[in-house]
Amino acid sequence: MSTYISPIRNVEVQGGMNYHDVTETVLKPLESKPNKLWLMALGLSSIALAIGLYCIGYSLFVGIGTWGLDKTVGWAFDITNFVFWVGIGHAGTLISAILLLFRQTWRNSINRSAEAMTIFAVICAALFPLIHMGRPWLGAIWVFPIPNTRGPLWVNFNSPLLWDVFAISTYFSVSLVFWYLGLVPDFATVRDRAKNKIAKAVYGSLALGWNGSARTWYRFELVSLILAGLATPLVLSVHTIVSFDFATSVMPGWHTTIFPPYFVAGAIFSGFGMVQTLLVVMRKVYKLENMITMGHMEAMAKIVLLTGSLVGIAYGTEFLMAWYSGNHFESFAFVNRAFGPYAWAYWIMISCNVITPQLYWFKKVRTNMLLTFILSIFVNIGMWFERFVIIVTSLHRDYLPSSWSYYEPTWIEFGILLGTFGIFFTFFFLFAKFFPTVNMFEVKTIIHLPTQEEKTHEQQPAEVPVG
Amino acid sequence: MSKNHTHWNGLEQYHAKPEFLQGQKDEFQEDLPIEETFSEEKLGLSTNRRDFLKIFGFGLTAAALTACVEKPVRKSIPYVIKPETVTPGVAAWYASTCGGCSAGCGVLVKSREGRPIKIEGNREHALNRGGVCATGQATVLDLYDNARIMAPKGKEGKMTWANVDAALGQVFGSAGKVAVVSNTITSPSGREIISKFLKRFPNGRHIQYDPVSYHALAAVHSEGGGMMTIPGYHFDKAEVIVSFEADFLGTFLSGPEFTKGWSKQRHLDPDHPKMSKHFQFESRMSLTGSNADLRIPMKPSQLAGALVALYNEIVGGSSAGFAGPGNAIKRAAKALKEAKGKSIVICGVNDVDMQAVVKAINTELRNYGATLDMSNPSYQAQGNDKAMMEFAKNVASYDAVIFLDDANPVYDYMGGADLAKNLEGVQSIYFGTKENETSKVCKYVLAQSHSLESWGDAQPRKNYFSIRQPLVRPLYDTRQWEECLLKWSGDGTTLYKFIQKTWAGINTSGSSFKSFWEESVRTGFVEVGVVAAAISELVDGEAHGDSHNDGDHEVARGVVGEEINVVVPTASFDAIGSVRTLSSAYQTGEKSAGFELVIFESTKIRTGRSANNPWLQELPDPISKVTWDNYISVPYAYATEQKWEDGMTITMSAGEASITAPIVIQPGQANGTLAIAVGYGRDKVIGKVGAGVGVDVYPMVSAKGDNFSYYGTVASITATGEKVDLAKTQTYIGYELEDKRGQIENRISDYIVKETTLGKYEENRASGNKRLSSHHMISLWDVHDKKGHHWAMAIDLNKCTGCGSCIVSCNAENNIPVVGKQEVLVRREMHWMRIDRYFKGDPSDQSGGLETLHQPMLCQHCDNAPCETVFPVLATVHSDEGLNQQIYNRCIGTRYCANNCPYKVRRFNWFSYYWNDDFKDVNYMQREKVGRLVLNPDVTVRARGVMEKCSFCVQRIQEKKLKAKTEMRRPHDGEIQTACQQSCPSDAIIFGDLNDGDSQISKLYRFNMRGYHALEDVKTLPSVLYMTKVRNKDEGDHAGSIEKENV
Amino acid sequence: MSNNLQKFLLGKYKSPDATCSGVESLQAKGIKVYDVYSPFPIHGMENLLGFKRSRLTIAAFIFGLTGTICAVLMQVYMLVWDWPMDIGGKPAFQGPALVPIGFELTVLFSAFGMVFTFLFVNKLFPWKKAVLFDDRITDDCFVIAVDQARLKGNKSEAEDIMKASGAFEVAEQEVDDPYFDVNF
Repeated sequence: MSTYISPIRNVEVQGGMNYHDVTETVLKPLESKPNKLWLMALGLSSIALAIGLYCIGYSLFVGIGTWGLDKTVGWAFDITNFVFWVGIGHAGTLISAILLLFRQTWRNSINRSAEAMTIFAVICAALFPLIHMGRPWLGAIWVFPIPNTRGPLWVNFNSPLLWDVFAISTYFSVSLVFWYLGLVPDFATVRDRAKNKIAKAVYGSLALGWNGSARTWYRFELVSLILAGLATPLVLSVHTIVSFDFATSVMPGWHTTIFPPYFVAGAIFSGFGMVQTLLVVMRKVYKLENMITMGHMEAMAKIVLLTGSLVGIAYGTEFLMAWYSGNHFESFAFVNRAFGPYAWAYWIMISCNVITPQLYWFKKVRTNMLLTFILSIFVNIGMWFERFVIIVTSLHRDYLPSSWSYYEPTWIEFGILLGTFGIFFTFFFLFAKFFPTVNMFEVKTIIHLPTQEEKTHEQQPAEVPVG
Repeated sequence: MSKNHTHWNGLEQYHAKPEFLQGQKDEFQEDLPIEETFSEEKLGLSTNRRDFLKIFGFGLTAAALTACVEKPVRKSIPYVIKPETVTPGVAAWYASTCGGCSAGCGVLVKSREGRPIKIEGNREHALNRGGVCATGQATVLDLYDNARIMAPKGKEGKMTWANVDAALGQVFGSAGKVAVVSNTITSPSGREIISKFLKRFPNGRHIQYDPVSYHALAAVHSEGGGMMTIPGYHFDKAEVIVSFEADFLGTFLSGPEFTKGWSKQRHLDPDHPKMSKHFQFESRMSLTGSNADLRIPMKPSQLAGALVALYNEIVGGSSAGFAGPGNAIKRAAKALKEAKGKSIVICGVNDVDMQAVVKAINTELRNYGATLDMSNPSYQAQGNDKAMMEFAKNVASYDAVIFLDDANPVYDYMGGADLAKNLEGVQSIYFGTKENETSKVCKYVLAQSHSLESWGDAQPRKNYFSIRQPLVRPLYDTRQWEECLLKWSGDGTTLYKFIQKTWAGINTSGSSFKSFWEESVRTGFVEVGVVAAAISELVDGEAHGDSHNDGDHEVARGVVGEEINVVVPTASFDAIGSVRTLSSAYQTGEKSAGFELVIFESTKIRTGRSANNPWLQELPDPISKVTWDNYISVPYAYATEQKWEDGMTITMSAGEASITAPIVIQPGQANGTLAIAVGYGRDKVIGKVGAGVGVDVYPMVSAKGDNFSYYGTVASITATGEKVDLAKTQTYIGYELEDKRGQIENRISDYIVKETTLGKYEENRASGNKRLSSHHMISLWDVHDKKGHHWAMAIDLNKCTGCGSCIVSCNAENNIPVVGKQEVLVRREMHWMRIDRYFKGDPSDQSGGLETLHQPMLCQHCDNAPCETVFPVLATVHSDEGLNQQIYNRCIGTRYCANNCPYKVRRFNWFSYYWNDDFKDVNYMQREKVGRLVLNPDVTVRARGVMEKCSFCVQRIQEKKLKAKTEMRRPHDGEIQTACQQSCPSDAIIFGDLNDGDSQISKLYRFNMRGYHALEDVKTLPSVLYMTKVRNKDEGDHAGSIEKENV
Repeated sequence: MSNNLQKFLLGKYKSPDATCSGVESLQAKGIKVYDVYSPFPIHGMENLLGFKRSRLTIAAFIFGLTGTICAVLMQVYMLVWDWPMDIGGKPAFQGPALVPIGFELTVLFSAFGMVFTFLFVNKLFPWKKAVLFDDRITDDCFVIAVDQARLKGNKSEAEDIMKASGAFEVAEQEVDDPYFDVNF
């Protein structure tokens, strides 16, 4: 950590809180009775969840035919949602891991919920590769290289879809571990404050008998640092591999080398969009304004602005390459994307991803929570449509004009999409109630005391080799 | 190709209205078609609380449930005593005669464990020589149709045959005036039996009629009395073909036969390229027209005028005629004169005057005896319109009327309604395999055996005789009508003996009858007057099965040729008079501004007999690609002027009749015409598949002189303002590509369908084929070498007519499910083989400026298959014989492979079609007990959620490979035939082993300069080679260059 | 009374800085500080208490390497050695295709291996009963623990130092827990 104290650093924790106040504020919702607002929210989200489950059950029962897909457009909502949710997930890891590596201490108060978001988003994402299959009950097993009785029957390691399987499962489990490890000391806090037996027992076992020993702390920090070091390339690799699903195909509009960076930028973009959406609400509802400060919100707005512009450049580059390649199919695909039957989707995407985020150039907008909320919603919509546009417009008019078609979703597909939001928010609300939503011990480390600044400064070298 | 022609398919693409687009773009519109399709009531799933819980619970525990599902045990009982003719697992083939229509094509029927499961053309049959049409092949499915009549029944319901005999005995005992009504009976024995039966009665008459009649054509060629004769057309000898409205590659008289002949003249020998020149003058866009070198759209009245003009040119005359745009007629005449005796002028209009004139022209061209064979004339159309009309007039005066062999005048005779009324007082007996409009009004409905359950014979041509033999015991309590009539005529002999008697009469082989009969039953065919030796020679030649070595055919032809002694029919018709009539008809037609109605026979449902056949209902129309409907096709110019779109319904009245049907905007249709197909709009008794599909237009057929007329004048047209969905298998979805026509043109001509003209081809064998299909592009890795065989296919676009026979053949061979209209609407048809149709040129063109391209598209079995790379669990891999294999039971259905297929030939099982009740009706061949008998046991019925596609008929490959192996040899070239190849009437498809240096396929791959691969640049290295389409056009009549003429 | 019994002298502080100075002054007097307990990591404490550089990094590396090797071997075995196939005309062995899974498994192995090592060496597991010298340690209390066995009598001196360096309370506590000592 640099000794330079930027204004932002000063206001990382506001209202002159001391350690105890932090604990109190953070654990208030956890220890108090659930309030009406929360119950309502949970109710709503679980209804959405139920609808989703119904639709999934229905399509498993009757067949994928209940979706709007056809012989030409074999993927649409399913994979769109998959990529969308994976993208959302990435911001979480990014905040917790990359910002940790860069010693961006302002992350300390938001990384917990960001990581939670990752976990839940990846759960939603992982759902789709499963249910989009014609025979999930077999596919769920066969995609893993398990020795089997059918003679030497293995999987195809050339298939990006298989790479996905490994990438997503690795990503999920590693993020989970990372998240849980971070929770252990805070669970201990909850344990030690818990009044009733059950809570004590449950949180006790979750806390793994943590007692805040300096040795443990030392290794703990080391581990989180290495995990962060691992998670960072991991998160980049995951979306790169997701983009391979398209980049390695022969479909015009898919087959392009720009995809990996473009997808990663998009992922960060959409992820931060979602983090904003959640935090704007959470800090208000849980009165965490002192810890999730305007500074945080602004910092994120700036990242959204940056990545949004990156994505915009990617869109432009695609067109340039389509034109410059001189490949008939390629150029047709892109003209068709912007002016074809799906032009409406394309322009929604452009306006939500490239145009509106530009408003973040103005501090007034960055600091206006209502606007931030609306814009972040736009970002989510825009990024969903980006995936939709890439997938559907490239497929629906590919090589042979005789097979061209137009895809229209069914209510089942909308139901499933709604359902994933149900899953996501149900989990998130449960998390907000039963988990310490802010990483207390990390916040406590940055309650500003100059002397400590100096000390940590001395210790800097000790940690560098590890990072 | 110059920029003023354009490729495009589907008029939505060529033209679409903004508000239509708006509709398309409004994603969240309430009425998503699919939503309706799977609306809860449609799926029988009203989600009340219980159902919700049911599905909800399922959602939670789906995985667990499926894990512990116990599969039902299916017991199969082996033969206790094995029948000598049946070896389980080995198919038996029987030669027989097709029952699809009256053409009488020779077929081989494949039987597995005693079940006929597929019909294929008989190469030893001089008529069709191996080709069969879609309709013919589909008849095997009718055998297992649930809608069949399973037992005889009378007014009081079910009867036993004993009561039937008794009851009818009384009826006939008292009857004096009896009529037997049927469509053309090609069976000599059948005719014999009928006359035998009618002799019982003082006044017995046999009325033959054809719903789509050739009476006029027959009339001008018949000597009067005896059989109606139609010349035998030898298109294989015709260097110039001028056709007026005759769809001879499709429905006209004997499609497969003519296609075979025609395609022989389209066979391009690189050493001395020669091709027939084909002029087509027609009102609607027919299959034949789409394959013509020069096609001029004309209203019916103009056709008359054109005929006059042609007469003037060739025979000489001065009546006012219609020269056609760009003097098309003059050009045709010139070509004809240059090819005297080597040309055919043919007319498909059931009008004596026109036929008389055509006959005069042919006579002048000395075609009779050369290309038109009167010494061995066709008996395929015995329908007598005059007799039928008389009968219909005074049907009430008959004591008893017998409708034979599914004859259905109440539906397909123009005055059917009155006929039904007048029948009330008559003892009416209906004989048929299926219920229909006529059976509904008949007193006795007698269950007839299907043609695959029957003994019989056929005499399609005077000298051609073929056998029909039963493949299976009657499934139900049925009899053959021959059998019954024989019984009722008091003749003791069995039908089998009777037929043998008939055949004893035609034994010219010199050998004993026994051997003659056995040989005939084996080959299924005899040509009277040809020594049996020649036949067996032909047989052996064909046995080697090289479909493209025309030598064998030539042998046969040669033999036939010797037999032909030139017979020119006595011109009992006054051509001069006819010319005058036509000319005046033409002039009046020109004056009237009204629309002219054209009624035609569709290539699949034909006259309506096949209406309940799901294979045919789902077979896309070769031109409009519409399935599950008939429609009024409207000329492009008028439709755009009226701002009409496909699917809008209009009400059209002609004569007394008036119908309301959806429209299809048809490019290349003559302005001032409306066309619609017969055979639809059936009553619900015919079965769940065909009932209520489309509209019935037979009432619009009218009488002209002694003939049925399929033309009329449209009294009024009114748009109803409603719109229905037409299930097209190929179309763009409403979007204006006007600005991209150039791009699409280049795409298709550069990468997909390559074509050139004969002139250019003579100069440069590779003309129109920019990149030759050598794999000259560099590769990152070595190609896997195929050690044993390397299977590959070649498709000659110059021969393919787009008839769709291959599609049905594929359906039958590979157990492909039929999915029904709603599913086709959401573009989920399952056909492994499809025929892409592209138009080229201005859709409103009236002067030969519009060209059509047909391209069969199937799995290309790429050596660098994109689908294989991306599939996660190796359910699709490449065999070391170059096949792209799909392993169904390994497939988990990610659809990634389909997405990554540039040819979009992979098909996904969206539902379990064999289990889901929504498909009970249309897919009964997989869903119902009896229907399942038609399934090919060599091919799996695919489960839900599994990807499927063309396998190059791997089961057929294996079968022949095993055969060869047991004989310690490699398979001969041409021994292995895929289903599509086998059925192709024009021999457009070649299949073989690239590793066999002498095989035809490997030669084509190595030497033929016309060969190219679709989408070569994607570098998928397909195993399907397309061969450039060559049009026999001189620059004079190249598309668009003829000056436009507003009609 | 088992042999795991340990007796500790505890100095409880309210701020990390006070704690640090407490440790320093104790060590200045040659008193061995057993361990320090705090609600959050006090940067620099490890140096004050002179911990050895942790070998977890090495562990992580070794686990990661194992992952890479496993991944590559698995893929090569299955696609090249066990059952080579013609997939899209590509050769059975292709380097690039091995990379993604190779990388993912590296990360997976390394992450899990290291985390479990960490839990093991720190004796952290769900059913472990936490040994706490003060309930507020996980909230806002900092504790310096001195092993009385090593104090050899001058207990009062230690107490004084603690008080002097700002401990708000000095206490004693006995621990009897085989899993307590994470010192190795």
